[in-house]
Amino acid sequence: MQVKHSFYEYSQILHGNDVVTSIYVLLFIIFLNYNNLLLKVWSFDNIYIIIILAAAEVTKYIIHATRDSSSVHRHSVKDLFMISLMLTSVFGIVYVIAILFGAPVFSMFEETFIFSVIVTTVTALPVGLHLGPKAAVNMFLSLTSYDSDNIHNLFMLKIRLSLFGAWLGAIVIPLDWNRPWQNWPIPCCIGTLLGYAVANVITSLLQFQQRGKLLKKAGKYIL
Amino acid sequence: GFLLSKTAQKSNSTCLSFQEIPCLVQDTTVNGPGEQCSDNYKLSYLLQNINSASNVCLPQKARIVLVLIDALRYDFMLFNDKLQNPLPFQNKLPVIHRLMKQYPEFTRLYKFVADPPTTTMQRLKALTTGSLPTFIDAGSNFATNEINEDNIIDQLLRHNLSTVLIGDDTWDGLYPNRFLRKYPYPSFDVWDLDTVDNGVMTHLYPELNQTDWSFLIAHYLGVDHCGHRYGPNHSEMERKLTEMDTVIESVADKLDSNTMLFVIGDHGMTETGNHGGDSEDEVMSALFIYSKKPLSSLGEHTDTVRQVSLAPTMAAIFGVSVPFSNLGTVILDALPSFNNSHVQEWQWSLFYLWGNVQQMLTYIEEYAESSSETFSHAALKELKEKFSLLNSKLYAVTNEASFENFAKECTDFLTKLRETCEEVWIQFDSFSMTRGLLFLFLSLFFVYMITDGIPSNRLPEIFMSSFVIEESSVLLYLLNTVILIGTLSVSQGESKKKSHKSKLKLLAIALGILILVRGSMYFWRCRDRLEQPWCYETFNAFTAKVETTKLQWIITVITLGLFVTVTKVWLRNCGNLNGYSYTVILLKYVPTVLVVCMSGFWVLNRLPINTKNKSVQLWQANALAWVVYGLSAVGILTVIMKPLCIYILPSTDEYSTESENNKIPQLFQKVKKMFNEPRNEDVPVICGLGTVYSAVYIAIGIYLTHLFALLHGDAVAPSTVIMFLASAFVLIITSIIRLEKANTIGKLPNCKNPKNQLFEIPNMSLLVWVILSQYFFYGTGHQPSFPNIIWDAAFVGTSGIFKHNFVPATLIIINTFCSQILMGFLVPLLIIMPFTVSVMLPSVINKNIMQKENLRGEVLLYERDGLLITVAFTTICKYMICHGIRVFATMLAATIHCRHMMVWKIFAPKLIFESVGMFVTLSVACLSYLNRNGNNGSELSEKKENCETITNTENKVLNKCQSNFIKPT
Repeated sequence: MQVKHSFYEYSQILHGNDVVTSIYVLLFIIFLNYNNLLLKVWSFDNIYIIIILAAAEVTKYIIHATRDSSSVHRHSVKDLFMISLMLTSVFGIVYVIAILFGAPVFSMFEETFIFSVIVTTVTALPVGLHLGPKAAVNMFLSLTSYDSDNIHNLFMLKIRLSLFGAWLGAIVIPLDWNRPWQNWPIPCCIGTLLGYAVANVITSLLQFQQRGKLLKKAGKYIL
Repeated sequence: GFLLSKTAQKSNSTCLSFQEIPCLVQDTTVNGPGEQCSDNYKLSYLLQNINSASNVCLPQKARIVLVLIDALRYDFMLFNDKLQNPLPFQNKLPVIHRLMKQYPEFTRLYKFVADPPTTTMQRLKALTTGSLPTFIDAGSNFATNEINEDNIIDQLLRHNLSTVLIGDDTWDGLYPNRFLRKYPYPSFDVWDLDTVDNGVMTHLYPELNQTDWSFLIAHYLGVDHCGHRYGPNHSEMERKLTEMDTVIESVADKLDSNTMLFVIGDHGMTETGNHGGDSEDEVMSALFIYSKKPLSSLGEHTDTVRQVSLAPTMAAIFGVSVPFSNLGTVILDALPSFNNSHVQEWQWSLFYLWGNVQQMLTYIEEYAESSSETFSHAALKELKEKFSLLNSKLYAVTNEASFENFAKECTDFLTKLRETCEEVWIQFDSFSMTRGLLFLFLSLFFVYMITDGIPSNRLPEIFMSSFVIEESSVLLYLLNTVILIGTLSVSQGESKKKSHKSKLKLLAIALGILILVRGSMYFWRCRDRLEQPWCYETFNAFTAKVETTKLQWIITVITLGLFVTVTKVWLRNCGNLNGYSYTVILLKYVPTVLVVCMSGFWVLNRLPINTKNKSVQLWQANALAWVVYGLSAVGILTVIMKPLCIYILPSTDEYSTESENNKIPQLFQKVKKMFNEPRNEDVPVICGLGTVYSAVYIAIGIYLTHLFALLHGDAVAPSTVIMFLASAFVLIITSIIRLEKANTIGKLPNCKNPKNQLFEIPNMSLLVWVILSQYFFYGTGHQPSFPNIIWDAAFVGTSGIFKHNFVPATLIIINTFCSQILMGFLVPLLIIMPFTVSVMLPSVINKNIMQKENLRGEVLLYERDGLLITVAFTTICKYMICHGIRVFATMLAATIHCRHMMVWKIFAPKLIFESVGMFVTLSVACLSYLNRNGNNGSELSEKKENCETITNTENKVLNKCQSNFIKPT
């Protein structure tokens, strides 16, 4: 079943969520940086980094669900299957697009793979969990022209900014600074995460603004 | 004036030859001319009075046979018995190894380091004058001009010694009228491996027996040509090197006791067999010396010598003075030793060395005087101090040991001198850089303000050397982004009523195009191993220059065939392939003929040389190529002269009676038609009127694509097809976007004529067009650097030898700038295409908001002819401006980096390529503008009446034409 949240409902329940996300993603990047893991993000040995990211998304959803079970999308078994199907297809599409944009075909399989996994985790996973697979597929199918006034828009913003971050990250790859972090896919992965963090900052600000408006309205009524 | 030029010093060094030296007694009184004193006395006096070293020449020691093997890389010379499976270029010169082992006293082998640019003419200049070549010279490689600096050959002439030349005619261009005898052979025909070498061999042996020369040059070109054609890893290279081996062996056998043999390479070659740059493979050639007299053992033995050092060394051997502008150091252990009891070995060497030092200092001083800015005072002062220090030590040299030390110091000094010069001529200074940067920043800002339609990430990309190197990937990235986003926004547009099928179709086509564009990465050419270590997965990878395989040929032919079919189907659907005018007939059949001819030509070219010579004459293969040239030229001309691809249908009655076979059904249908459409008969039906304009450009595009395919050879040809298809798809996508936008914008109240919105070309789509034209420069296997120019194009259908370089130059330019040419020609399509799309692909456009008028297609353009011309003009101007900005940016970058190390390698070639590309674009765009303006307009106006009738009858007629003729079922 699909739940349509109004902006108000969502911001009441989830306003903390985005703030937390933006903070922990940034902290996560800093943590990786200090442990010299950032340069090895692409390696299969460090796949737990991605598992942590995914686990964080799932936890956020579970907390959300336990706090307020009414407004949340509850998954049937079939839905879970659909979500995993959607995740794999998004992963595949990202992988193919990365190759089309110039990633090597026959080499660097590991790098491209991890990059696609990170992009999928950040974009498709939260949408699938919170809004259900159908809404997620819809959103991905109309990436450039999606427009609605409920909370779907906030998720759309996150997806778009994350993808934009990944796109923008590629700019540093051809520069001749000879830094180790210039190798594919490190800047793109960092770009994705940064884009995601920025998107979360923006969405939380939007929600505060919305809440402020609502409080004002409420205040008027009280007075 | 950023291309550095070095002022050539025209002064010559002079010296008194040994015989002219008057006998001097200790107190410097001159004896009478008639008086003779013994040579030995003169010698010992001279050697004591060493400060006159640069003014006096010692007697000639030996004659020199200089065997110059073009592109002889150092590792070609090595011999390693342990090598199990030698590559084609390894272990092929065993004679060097044998001589080295047999006569260690008589032979020397050095690494011979060239200064870039490593092109033959520059190298010859350096070898004879001992100076550093500059970039200006590199451009004039193909119109060899006379050398005006002091050089070894002129020095020989001055001493009445004579030179004989056999081989490369570059020498003859450099030194006209200087040779006693000459046997020049043309050097430009890179595909001909043997003519020059055979010619050299026939003349070399008789010349060796002559005694009237003192310097014999034998310049072999076969190895270089083989490298250019096949690369080092080819059996032909094995054959050429083995040939060289026998040459060296027989020359070494025939030497008389007074002659030395120098075997040198002027430069190396990369693993693809090209040269010109400064990678180690290109710079490292070899110097082998074999002398019948034992060689001097004095001086520190080094493995590596600079190429400029050959000139002073030869000068010492010949006993002439060192060329005035020489920067090389005399190679002491390459000089033959002297058997003279009166004078000790080291004194000779000291004499030569000191002469060398004096000459170089004089040169630097004179140079500093003539152009005062080049050397800083501090540097000059330091040099002078060092010189005086050395001078004071000079007289302390009394025995061999002290000479060794002194020689080392002198060599260091000379090296330092050379490096100072190199620094001045090559390095950058920080002041001009900051100034340039500031200038750049301001102008960038203004440029951005003026043309804010261009995303800023396009501009600065040219300013970093890495962006020049990686521009291909950046462009690919941008292009694919644009295509993907464009397609997504088209297929996901606001129109929800658009059929699901057409959406999917569009997405599938987009995916195909994306894969094709990405696939064109396979045709990229790698610049250089050092610059692009990642250069993988390409056909033109470094490893080898392989002949094209059968598979590649088959793929190419299939792609071309598909291309012909697809374009034909499109044109037929447009209705432009009806009727019997020349243009249409040519358009119907010529492309097929072209493909057949091309594939035939490639097959003949792929045959191995031996069989080809027997069964097929060269002209027969070339004739096929000329057929392609001729037909495509004729095709383009007819399209330009008679641009109308329309056909006025005879009225329905005539049409049905034409075919006489099945009269009854025809009659029946006629009757049926008369009932159904009784009113249509008085209206002339014109086929292809909806796409009059676009058909012309598409036709030109088809011919051009075939021409390019031929010039690119069977391996790279599919990339030209990809180029055409990708641009077509981009056109369709942008025009759909514009169609939808135009209709929505048209609802605004301030727009009186909503249709006009379609005429406005958004900057975005123009930018995409520019990106396309830039990307496919790389996508068709080019790189903006000189070693990567595809010289092969000059030999397609020609034997390579022309009196003028006009034909090869044209072919190379067409090959190199094919994308600029094609895109330049097709710019007007940007204006026309939305109308075409509205006729041809109505299903992809949102029908709800589409106005009825759209279906009339390009006739609308005709109705607004004046507007069309102005729009075409502004579009082409904008397109030019985009290219102009690029050239401007490159120029700025080059100015900034004008003294940067990379400038010769990256920025200067980039600038030159960009500017030539700009010129090509400019001329082509002008042509296409004139074409559409003059011919198309006037021709159409002849048909004005018809057009008017058509416009009155709305789209029913067009539909009928299409259903009748386009899909004749």
